[in-house]
Amino acid sequence: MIAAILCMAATQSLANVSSIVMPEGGRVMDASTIDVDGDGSSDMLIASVNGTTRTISIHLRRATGAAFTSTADASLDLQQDVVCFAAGDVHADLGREIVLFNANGAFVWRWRESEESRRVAKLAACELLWQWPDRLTAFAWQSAITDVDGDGLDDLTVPEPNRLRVLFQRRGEDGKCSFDVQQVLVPGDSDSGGRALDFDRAAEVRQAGTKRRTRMAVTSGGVQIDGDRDGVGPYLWIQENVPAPQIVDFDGDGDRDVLFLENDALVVFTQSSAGVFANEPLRLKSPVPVTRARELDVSYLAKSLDLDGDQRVDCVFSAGDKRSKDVRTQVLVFLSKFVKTGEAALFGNEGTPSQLLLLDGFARPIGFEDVDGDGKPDFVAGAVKPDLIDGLRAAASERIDAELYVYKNTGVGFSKRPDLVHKISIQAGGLDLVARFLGDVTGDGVADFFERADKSLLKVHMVRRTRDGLTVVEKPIFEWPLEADARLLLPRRLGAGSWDVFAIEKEAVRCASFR
Amino acid sequence: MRQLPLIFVATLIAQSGAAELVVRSSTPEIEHCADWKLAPLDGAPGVELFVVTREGVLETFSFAKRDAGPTRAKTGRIADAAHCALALEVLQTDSKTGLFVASPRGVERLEPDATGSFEGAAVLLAPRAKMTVRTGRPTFAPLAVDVNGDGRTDVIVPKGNALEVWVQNVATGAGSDVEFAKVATVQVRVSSSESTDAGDLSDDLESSLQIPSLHLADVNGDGRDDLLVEDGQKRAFHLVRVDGSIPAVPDVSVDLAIFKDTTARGELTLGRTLAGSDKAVYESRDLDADGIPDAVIAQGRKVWVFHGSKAGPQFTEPSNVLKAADDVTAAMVLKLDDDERPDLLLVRVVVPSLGTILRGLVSSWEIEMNAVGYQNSGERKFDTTPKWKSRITFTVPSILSIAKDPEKLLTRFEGVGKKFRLPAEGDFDGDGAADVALVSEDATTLDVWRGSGAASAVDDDANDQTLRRVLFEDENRAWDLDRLVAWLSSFGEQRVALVTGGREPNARHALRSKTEWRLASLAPGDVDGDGKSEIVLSYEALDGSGRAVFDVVAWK
Repeated sequence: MIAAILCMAATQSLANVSSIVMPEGGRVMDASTIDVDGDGSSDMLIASVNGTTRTISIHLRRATGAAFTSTADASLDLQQDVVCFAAGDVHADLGREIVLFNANGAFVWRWRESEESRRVAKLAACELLWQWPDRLTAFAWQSAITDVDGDGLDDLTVPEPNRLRVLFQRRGEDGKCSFDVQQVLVPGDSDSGGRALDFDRAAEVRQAGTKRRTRMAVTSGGVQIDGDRDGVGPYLWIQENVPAPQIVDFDGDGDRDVLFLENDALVVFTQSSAGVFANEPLRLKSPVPVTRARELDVSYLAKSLDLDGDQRVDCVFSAGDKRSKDVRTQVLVFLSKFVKTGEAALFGNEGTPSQLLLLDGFARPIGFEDVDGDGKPDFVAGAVKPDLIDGLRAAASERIDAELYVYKNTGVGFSKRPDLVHKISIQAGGLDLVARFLGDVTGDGVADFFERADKSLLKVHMVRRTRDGLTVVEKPIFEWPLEADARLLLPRRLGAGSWDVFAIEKEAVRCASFR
Repeated sequence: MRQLPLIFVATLIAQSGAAELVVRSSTPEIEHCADWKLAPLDGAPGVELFVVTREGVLETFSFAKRDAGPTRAKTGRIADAAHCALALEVLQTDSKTGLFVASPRGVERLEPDATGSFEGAAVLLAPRAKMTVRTGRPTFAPLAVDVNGDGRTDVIVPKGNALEVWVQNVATGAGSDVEFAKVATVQVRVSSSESTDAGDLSDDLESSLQIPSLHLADVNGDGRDDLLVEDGQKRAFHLVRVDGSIPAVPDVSVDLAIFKDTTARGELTLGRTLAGSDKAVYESRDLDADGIPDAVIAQGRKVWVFHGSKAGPQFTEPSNVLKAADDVTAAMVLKLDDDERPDLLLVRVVVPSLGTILRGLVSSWEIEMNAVGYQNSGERKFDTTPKWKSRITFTVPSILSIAKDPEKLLTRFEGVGKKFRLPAEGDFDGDGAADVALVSEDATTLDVWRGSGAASAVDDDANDQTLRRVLFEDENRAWDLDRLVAWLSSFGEQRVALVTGGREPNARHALRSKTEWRLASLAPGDVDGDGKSEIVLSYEALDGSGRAVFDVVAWK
């Protein structure tokens, strides 16, 4: 008993826990963490609902004592049409403001402003992809704020149907912001319907009295079926999409470019000078074309990032190996620096990867995180191997065994064999699995492992260097009980200014602060 | 016959006589086609082809009786092509068809001129009936409907999670302008979803929005459709009056949440769970053949039957309360025997527990369904003991075997879907009998069967009989994926055989090359006004350019 208490005290000392509890009747719907007040530490934005009132509240992180308190530092009851929000420095006020988006525009909420009439103002018109507001929530969409042209000012990147609208922030000498300079990037033909892959449909018969054919569509979110199939058909059924834009430096010229992955090509809008994108994008034939089979493949994923530190974008694809009799996954690594002079950028003329990794089972990249502390992103993957599943044991325990691999970044790709293998026993049934090497909380230079394999528990395991690579220390150094349906909000990486991990529960947001 | 090589069929058809389908006329290629319809627009006999492009350009094509290119009328244009819903309807009975456009400007109408052109200016009919949804492109919607049966077309526009009903009134002001007055704001279950993951290159940002149509049905047998509102568990009924007025407050409303079976839940097999929810199930159908729908509500193991009358539905005096042996997952009212009265089918689905599903990762697993049928006794009641009973099991392959190649499974069902071919009907040969046209399974030909009286429509009773056979008459109650695919394929073919009488087609038309074009849609219609129906085929270019072309196929 005493040992247990001592153990508990030891593990809990690694992080301080504080809570933001909603007022009576309030329910947390979404949350986001970013430095709002400009003090260098991430604060908390919470979208909540109470009855029919939707509210966004700002909770600033305290430097001493409890990191967060339940009393909001600012809050705004949202208009019915607000769809999503983000934080960005889009006004002369100190720190960041909150940008609200509805179907037709972006608006700033100046949370420091006390005069009601000046609190919310329109920034610009746009056609937000997600036009329909949820009656219960507004979701956080921080990807809408990026400094695209490198001038130090936050720009708006708004996904619209079949296109991305980039609204560049300009500031006058009086500090007044404007978003009049805009550029619209259209990755494909507007009739192509993005990457949502449809069924091979029979021709529609248009005749009064003919029974309506149920409509179906395969999307990345699953299979959608016409929801009014018993009636006369929907009044309107609108499906819109755009490939998720990736804003990265493609060619190493110091400017951020915009990448879209179409079905058969990687479309690259290069920024030739600050705020000016090429009219005609580069279209690089994709070595892993997107087909319906790929969209349904649990292993399929494509990621663009600079793997080798040459400031140019590299690319990793993973996909199930259909030619293999056994279940296995191929990981294809494309490094820009290995493309021969004169050949097509990134994929070369032949689309031959600079490295091919084969993983047994249903595998999928979990992340590209600097695990060993050398500053380069390592490859983290998870795999479920059918031949290792004991059906009876899985049925009895209601758990599935999976393996986690870390392949260290060698500068010319990744290690040929995993430098770390760790078994996870995952609680089945609606778990929001977390398996992240989130950051170094022990100070040994190696990122430690955050694991939520049980619905009701987050564990932090120390990761150590060994002679053969890396190992996860079995005994956790920190355990945090969670509500079974809590969602975890994790920073991109634990480190300076963002040492907090959040658990979003129905009526509260709890914070574990590791510094 | 389907298995015969195409060459034999072509030879047989060639030998059988002069029956032939020819392309009478084709439109030029149209860029960025958004949608199309056939409608009488130029005042002459027959219908015209109306096409609207993504940019809102309105095209009208008229077709002559002889083989000749279409006459292209002057183009019109919609002001806001990305925010508009369209309908081609009359303003009132016996008036000309025109174009209703609902947009943020309100509901406007464009009248076609004598050539069918929509070149003229739009007239704002209902400025306050604003439609603010972004449609992305001009889209047809059921926005112009005679809601109250008074012979005048009313308009319906979405607003938030509701549909506004604007009824056309007799103009009381100066001139003959029509007037629209909002009579109801009907809550509907708008469903929207979004994909917002953006961290990976392979992520797709998606938005889907479905706004259901207004539900209209005659619930009191007066011959006029009434307004049915479904808002979560609540149902409300606005009965349309003789003068066409619609009460703002519903005449009858019910909250299904009040229907609770307070008895203990039925027993379940160990390790299994009941599929379904605690919410009440609502079904409506005429049980006593009085022309007025009755209501059946099931919750838990209890079933309530409410008789509908000329006063409309009522939910206070059940004509029948049943207690089933098992909890009910779904209830249906359908004909399980050969009399005219629909019977009651209660279904209980039992699915394996999480543990069994996990075992099913690597081995097959079963879903079990119990069906019981209660005969309609003819007095707005069902028998208290079930007449039909069955237990059906469905064996599902191991989950990981499906995950290894889901495309394979999907392709199988896609193949099945192609066998369910919808017929286009019309008097194509002008002999006064209805003929049918079907696109072949491989989408290479359009086949036409001349009307002979052998063909029969597939109606609801046929569906009832099919379900009856599967649930209660087929002795093999064990199903798996292979049997399901085979049965669905056979069922699709049977439905086609019902339509065609199992005969060879009388004529066959080769569709455009599948390497360049995809047949997207077709419609029968008398485009040249000669009393015979032609078939308009709409093709989409496969190169993703958005080009479309229309062929008019006619009997020669």
